[in-house]
Amino acid sequence: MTRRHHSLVLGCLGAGAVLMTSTGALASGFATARFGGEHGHPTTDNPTAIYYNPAGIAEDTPGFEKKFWRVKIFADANLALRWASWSHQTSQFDVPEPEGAQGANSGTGELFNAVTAPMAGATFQVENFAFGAAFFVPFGGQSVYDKNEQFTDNPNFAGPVDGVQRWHSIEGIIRSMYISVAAAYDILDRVSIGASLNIVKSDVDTIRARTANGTNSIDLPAEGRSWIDVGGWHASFGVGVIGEVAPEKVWIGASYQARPGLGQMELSGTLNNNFPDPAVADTKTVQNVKLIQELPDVFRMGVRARPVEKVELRVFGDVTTWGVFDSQCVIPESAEECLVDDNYAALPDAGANAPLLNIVRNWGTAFGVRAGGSYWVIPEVELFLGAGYDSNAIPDETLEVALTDFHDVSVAGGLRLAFGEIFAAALSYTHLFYVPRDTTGQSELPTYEPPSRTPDSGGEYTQTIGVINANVQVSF
Amino acid sequence: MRIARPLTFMLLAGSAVLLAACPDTGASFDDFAARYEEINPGTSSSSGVSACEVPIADDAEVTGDWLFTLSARLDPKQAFVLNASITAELQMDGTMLVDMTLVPLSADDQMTPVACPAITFEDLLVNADGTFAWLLAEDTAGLTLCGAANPISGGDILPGLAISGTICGGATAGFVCGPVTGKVTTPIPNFDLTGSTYTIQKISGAPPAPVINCDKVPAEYM
Repeated sequence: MTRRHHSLVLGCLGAGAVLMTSTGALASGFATARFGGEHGHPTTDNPTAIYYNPAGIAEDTPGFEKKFWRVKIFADANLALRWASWSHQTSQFDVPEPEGAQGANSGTGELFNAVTAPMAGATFQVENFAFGAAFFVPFGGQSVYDKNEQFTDNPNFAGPVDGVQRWHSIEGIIRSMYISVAAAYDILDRVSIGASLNIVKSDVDTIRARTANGTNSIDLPAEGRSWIDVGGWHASFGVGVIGEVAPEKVWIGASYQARPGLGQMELSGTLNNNFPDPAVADTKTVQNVKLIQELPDVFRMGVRARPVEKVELRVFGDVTTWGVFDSQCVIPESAEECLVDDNYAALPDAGANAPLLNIVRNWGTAFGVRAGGSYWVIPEVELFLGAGYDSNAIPDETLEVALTDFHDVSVAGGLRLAFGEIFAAALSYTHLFYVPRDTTGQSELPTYEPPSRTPDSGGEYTQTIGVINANVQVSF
Repeated sequence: MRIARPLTFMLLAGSAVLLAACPDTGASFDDFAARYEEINPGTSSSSGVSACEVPIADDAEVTGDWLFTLSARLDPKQAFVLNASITAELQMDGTMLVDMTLVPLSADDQMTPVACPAITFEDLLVNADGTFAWLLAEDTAGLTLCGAANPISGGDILPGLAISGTICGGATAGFVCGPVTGKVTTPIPNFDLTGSTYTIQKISGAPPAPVINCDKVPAEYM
């Protein structure tokens, strides 16, 4: 078995623990928390509450018999199908394509990816106390772009076959996986409070085309590759409250999830570069590096109401502080911070600790709102619908193929079957419609000084995603 | 049985769809290197240094200020530029000993000295036929080119550095060029400079524009 085959198998197993492309967010930025489907929200009482609002694990499920203790086990899986494209026309910042390489840096890059993501959790209620644990992936994704068949087996140029978008993304994964424990207390059956502690494993593993001066030169200097593979463990926490303002009729919830690491995250690993030259037999280098980044806090709020026994209505939303995601900076292992000035050039006195690569993000705070409802045809059969909107976190100036975001609206519909209080299963489909973006002439990335300069990312961005969600819950 | 075949096909198709989305960054990195190697089978450069047709007759031809341009293969046209203050002394056997002090010039204008330590070399040997091969810094103890003079990344560079060429009189007087070898230790450990070039141009009056190689290709800056 070749290395590629090995890696493919392992990569796919790994991908099973991840959701989506980095750019295929189901919410703003690259937030992907949609586990639980329409039943994952800040007033829910199933184990997805461990993330959305830990107070929810102490809530009783309407219609369930009052018991001294109760266990809920929840397993969830999403299958996401994503189509995306980026079309770029030659700009003033592009290095002219050499003879025979026309179409190497201009045209359309496309992908169609299908990715699965699991979530699992369990809660244990003892009278008014509740405890729980869960695994989920609220941030992240992966992408693999199609090849540019025009350059397959090209006799002169090794790089362009990886697509016109290769200067920003060829393939890769970015993700933060959570293992979380939570506790909650239900005060007089009217107000629940809860808190969670998260252990977060974050990884960035991506490859892009690159030259040392940050341009999209194909031949002089020769196009190369940079592959970063870093990871790290961090902690975070969540807190929440749910008020049952009308007994078994209306619930209001609010929660807060702190950013992983509670601030700046440091991911350690390797940076592999290959800046080729025909005069040198082996131009590959590898060095130990750290990636510095910051992920957002998430504030959530929601209302759930059961005006009549057969109907439930839900409205909820989130605010995600993507404004803290201002850069992804790769620094030498010996460095402690990203030493760049206001124009993102390395500080003059940075010396050997100067950043090796700094991808400017400058994202902004984003929000999402969602409304939906359920109708019980009979107590065992629930039909549910939902619709929502997510705002865009990424300005035109720094939008690039590796991490994209759009204004989007989504609609969902599904069915949940219950077999008494013990077993329930749900299946739903959500389609996300993304408003296309045209940032031609807007990209600031090529105007920055090295090491922050990257090729012009202006162009037309399109995307659409379909998500099939399935989950089961066992309660006893 | 009739339904088994379509079901099998659907399962295989579904699996293929899932596999298609699996990133394999390491393989992608290696695939690129393999494609490049196939297009450009590995070669090694030679210095190609040959003796002068017209050797230096007077060390005064060499003594003075020169413009030293170092073109790294990472980004050949954005070359480092340094002022080289040279003192040469012809020896009785026709060889020449050279003292050279390099002062890095700003990456912004290639003219202004930057606040970095000067780099000094003494007793560099030029053979009687004008050829030389100078090991300016061992790979393990590279000299420091400070970030302010680095037009590529703006960070400090610690290269091991060796240059070779000829210092001649006659038609080529005042211009020296050739290949650079050595390995960088910072910021890219073990980065091989082979394939890089340098030039040294005598300054007589206004400084010349930096050129990156023996073909006198002009340096270009963003």
